[in-house]
This record gives sequence, structure tokens and C-alpha cells, in this order.
Amino acid sequence: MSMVDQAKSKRLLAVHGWSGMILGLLLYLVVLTGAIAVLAHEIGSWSTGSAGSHDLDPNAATAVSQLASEVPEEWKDEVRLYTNMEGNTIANFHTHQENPASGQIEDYGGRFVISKDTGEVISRTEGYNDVLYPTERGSALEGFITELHINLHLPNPWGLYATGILGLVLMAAAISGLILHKHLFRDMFVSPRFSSMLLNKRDRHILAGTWSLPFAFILAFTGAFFSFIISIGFPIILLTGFGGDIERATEMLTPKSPLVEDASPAPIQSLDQIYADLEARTGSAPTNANIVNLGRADSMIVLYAAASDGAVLGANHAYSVADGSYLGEQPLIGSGENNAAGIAFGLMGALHFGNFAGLLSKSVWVALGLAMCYVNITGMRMWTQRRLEDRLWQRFDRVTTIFTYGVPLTMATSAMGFFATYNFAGDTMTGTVIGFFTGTVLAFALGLRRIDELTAIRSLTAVLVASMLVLPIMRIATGGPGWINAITSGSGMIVTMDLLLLITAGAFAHREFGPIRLPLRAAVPIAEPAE
Amino acid sequence: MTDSATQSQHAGPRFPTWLRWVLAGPVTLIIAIATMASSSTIGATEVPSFNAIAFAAISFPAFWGAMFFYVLLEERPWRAVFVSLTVIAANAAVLYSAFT
Amino acid sequence: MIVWSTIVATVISTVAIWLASQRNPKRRRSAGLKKIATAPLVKWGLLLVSITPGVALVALGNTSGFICWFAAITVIGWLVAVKRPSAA
Repeated sequence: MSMVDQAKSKRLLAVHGWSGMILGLLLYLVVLTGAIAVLAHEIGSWSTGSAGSHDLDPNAATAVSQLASEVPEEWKDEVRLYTNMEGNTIANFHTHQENPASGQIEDYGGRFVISKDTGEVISRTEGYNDVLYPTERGSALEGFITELHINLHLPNPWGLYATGILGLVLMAAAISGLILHKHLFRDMFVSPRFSSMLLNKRDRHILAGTWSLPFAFILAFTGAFFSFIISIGFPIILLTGFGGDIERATEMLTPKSPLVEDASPAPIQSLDQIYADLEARTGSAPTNANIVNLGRADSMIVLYAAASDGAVLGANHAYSVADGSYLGEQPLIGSGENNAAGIAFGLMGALHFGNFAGLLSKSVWVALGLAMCYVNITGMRMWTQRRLEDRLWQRFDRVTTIFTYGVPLTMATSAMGFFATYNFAGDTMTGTVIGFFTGTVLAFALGLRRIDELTAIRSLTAVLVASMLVLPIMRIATGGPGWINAITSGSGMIVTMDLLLLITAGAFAHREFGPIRLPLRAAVPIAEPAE
Repeated sequence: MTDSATQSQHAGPRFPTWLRWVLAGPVTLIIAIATMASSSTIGATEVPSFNAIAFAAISFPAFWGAMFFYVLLEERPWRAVFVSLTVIAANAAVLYSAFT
Repeated sequence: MIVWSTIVATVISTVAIWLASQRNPKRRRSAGLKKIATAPLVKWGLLLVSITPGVALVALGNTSGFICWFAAITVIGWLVAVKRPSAA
């Protein structure tokens, strides 16, 4: 009792199968790195050995007030405050002017790093966007994985087009899968049958696909949205809505200050009291702040506080810097009264990143991503193994094996590259990239040997398991904090991440080399070695 | 893949299979972008409506999905061509009037 | 509180889904097991028990918990279903 007739379901199956086949490996790369990138922040803290708190540091407040009396007047147009991976405060004092090098209006001013230990300014630099917002050494690993997920490290806008298309493909696969499935609810609990290898593969794919359907759709939809909004949406809307006038568009997106314009000089309230008031008010400490017109009577600070108490979205809160009074909530995006759109934008983000309820939602989101990887790989296997008499499909089947184990392997070797450079004053990005390519070469070298499928899987698993076991050791050996040290200094996340790696390694090892064999694994026909 | 079953039911010029894939692929993408562009101008007076802009952007994947599955499942493929062209023309008209 | 109510809701739903899967006629038939007679009241009751915790989270104002619960159920349901039923 299918929803569609035969000709239609043939077309749907063609779309589902061929798009999955042509783009499935890239999709797997994007989905798996996405599942890992859910923990980007935790990976940053783990890889740098820091507590990883991004809350604004009240101890930096004095230094910010001090800087306000030292920097050129125009740099106080706007001040951006946030905390970097090491826990130091970054204060970017800037104005907006054309960068002769790029021909664009950019931020120009000074970037000050305020130490979390002493509260003193430990570094000052001056320049345009590239100086104000550099890639920090400590975020190399986290950034590498996240960028791989967002744009496959392809140049803009091509990388975003690519991931946008992959998002649409995933959405199409979810919907076509739903239409093609004849007994969605009746088969929800039917465990995969063992009557034949192909049937078993099919059952596994369909069962996992059925349950993952709602969130595969949501993650694909929101992912496609984020890729296309940046690469196509913004430029087009800038044209249709604002006739290409960037300043008018920026004005619409900038929150309106409820304060009356008043350029007379005024004292600066201590920011730490504002932080404390916000935390008492919302239950969340602020994670970043933006100050306009610092040192003037109409100076306003807008702080972001994450969601608490079961809410999904955080909010921006405004205070007067001159007298410290609370000015109320500001919309997350835009300056309009009706903020439905701002809420909708916020929901797209929350549903894609899974960061709305701390570690709880993050761990669920990792599981969603991994389940989707499983659907992806079993789907591709179904297709290739049905065609194994063809040499081309045999090779493709092997490449699928290499990707399945190779992508997680490259993530592990990337982390090794990071550790090999981070505490030795090396270039962490270069280290991470070299690690990534080493893993890639290793995976293909192992997988493309003239061996049967089971041996290929086992050797790839062995290397993957070994690399995951080595990572915590390498982290500590290269100067990262040990477990006792991490726990006593409030960085328990580091130990959790180590344990997560060890448990995952154990699970892989158990599955491949443990005493329980899946009945059909041994029966997998051995593919002719590729030539 | 052929559409022979569909064609025998609906007399008319033979519909080339590749044309359906062109419709479902590039044409659908263009329609989704055009629909996003034109719906972002809804409610704009002197200033554009922020909500219209935001919801146009958010709906982009939905525009794409709706058109993609319509084109794929339409029984009479020539009608899919006609509908696609009409949607493009309608978007062009909205955008033209928004700019003049 | 927010975290615990989410976890409790997820555990209750997991148990209900597990019980429902154990009695699911098609699951048993495809595994070659005998059918367990299940009164419609039990069948629909289990469905109700598996969904109610999510509704309760929304009613308690724990929207983020509800989304977590829903997402978690889509993974847990799969893990429950994918395991072969035991002969018991």
C-alpha cells in the first residue's frame, strides 16, 4: 500500500539511490564531522588543557576601564568582549573605516588580551579585521573540524554551496525514504532479519532510517539554510531589500539603543557588577558583550546570556554603561519591534547545533549524528553489495569501507598533529592539517591493499582503535594536564573526553575482535581484490 | 528510467526523461532562489520588512523541497514544465514591481 | 531540575517503548516467536505512556527538555528495535 504508483516510486528510488551513491561519501564526511563538531567547544578545551569556560571574566573589568582612558577616542565607538580558549579576555576596541587593502568597510582598532590570572593586558595589536579577529593557535583543532563540516575547507562561497547542496540531498533522501517506505509504523519494531545478507543490510538501513527521519530532516533543513543563507541568501536579500546598500542593511540589523543620544563624557560603571546583576537576573553568566560609545553618557553594553530554566533560546540584555541600570532585553537579531523572525532564526541555530541545554542536548545531538552516519553507510552498502559482480562497484564498496573508518581516523590523527605542535610553539594549524593528511594516506594505504573485505575492515579498525587509545596518552605526554590535575583545577571535561575516546575505542575493538560475532559478518562474500 | 507508463496514459508529445531531471535539478534550485528573493520584498514600504526577509531566508529549503518533489511526482510532465515556467514568471513580475 | 526531569521523562518513555517492542506482533513473527496476546488497552496504554512524558515536559515549561527527549527517543527507539528479541 504505497503512497505512490510504480512509475513514481521508481523515480523516487532513483533519486534516493543515485544521489546517495554520488554524494553519499561527502555526506558522510559532513554528517560525521558535524556530529563531532557538536562538541567543538569541549574539543577545544580538551586539546588545549583549559577549563574551557567562555563566561566573561569579571577580573578583566578593571583593565577594560583602564584601556578606555588610554586608547584613541574613535576606537571607543565599539568594544567587543569575549573569552578565548585559554580563558583570557579579548577586548577589541574599534571604529569602522575602509581598509585600503580590501576596499571594504572593516573594523579598525586595537586588540587587547587581558590575562585571566593577573587581570593585566598581556598583548596589544592594532589593525583591521585580520588583526582584530585572528585564528588563535588554541582553536586550530576545533576550527579545523568545524570548518570541514561547514565548507569542506573549500574557498567561499563554493564550500558553502557544496554543503548546502548536501543538505538538500539529505532532505530529499529523508522525504523520499518516507514516501517509499510502505509500512513505516508497522515495521518500527521489526529487528533486521537474518535470512539473507542483502535483506539484513536493507532492514538495518530502513529501521535506522525510520527512527532517524524526524531529526535527519530537521538537521538537513537547518544545515541547508545556514549554508545558503550566507552564500546566496544574504547577497540576494541585500539586493532585493536594500538595493545593495550595506549600510542600510547593517542599520536594520543593529539593535537600537533606548538611550537618548548624548556625547558628553561620563564615567564607566564597573562591568563586573553588570555581569553579576545579569547572572542574578537570568541564571546564566554572560558569554560575550558589545559596548557602544564607551565613555559617553549614552554608552550601552549588550550582553548575551545563554538559555536557562528550560528555555531554548538565550537572550541579549542591555545595560547603561554610565550608570549600570538595566535597559531590558534586546532582540537577538534586528532592531524591529516584532521579533518573530529573530526567534525563528534562533530556533534554526538551536536545532542545528544542539547546544541549547548544555551537555545534555549536546550528547543527544552527537548520538543523532552518529545514527545518521549509520543510515548513510548502510544505505551505500546495500547499493554496492547488490552489484558486487561488477568490478567498479567492488572498488566503490572498498572506498566506502575506507571512508567509514578513515574519516574518524583522520579526526584522531588531526588531533595528534595538534598535540605535536601546541605545546612546542609550533604552527598548530599546519600540525593539524599534516595530521589530517597522514590519516587520509594511512586509511587509503591500508584499505586499497589486495585483501578481502573482512581483513580490510579489521586492519582499519585496528589502526582506528590504536589511534584513539594513543590520543589521551599523547595529550598528557605533550604537556597537557593529567587526570588528577584536570579534575582539581575544574577541567573535568578533559577527563570526560579522554574517557569518551577510550570507551569508543573499546566499543570498536569489541565489535570487530570481541567474542560475539554477528551471524552474518562471516558470511559476507569476499570481494575480488581490486586491481 | 523511462516514463513510458505515464506517457501511455496521457497522450501528447513524447516527454524526454532528461528534461524532468533538468527541472528537478537546476531549474528547481533557480526557482527556490527566485522565490526567496521575491518573498523577501513582501510588505516592504520604504524599508523592507525584517520578518519578511527573515522568513524568506528560513523558507528557502522548504521552497526547494516543495518544488523538487512536485516536479518529481507530477504525473503529467508537461504540466510540470508549465508550472515551473509560471512560477519563474510570477517571481520575475514580483521582483520587477518591487524595483520600479 | 531541568536536567533531571528530562532524564526521568526519557527513562519512562524508554521502558514503555521497550515493553511495546517486546509485544509487537510483527517483530515477534519476523523473529519466529510466538505471538503474545495483547489487549488493545495495553497496546494503546503503552503508546500513551511513551508519549506522555514529552507532553509533561512541555506542560512543565521545560521546552529544551522536550526537544532533548524527542531527539533522544529517535535514537533509543532504534537501539531497542534493532536488537533481536530473545525467545523468552
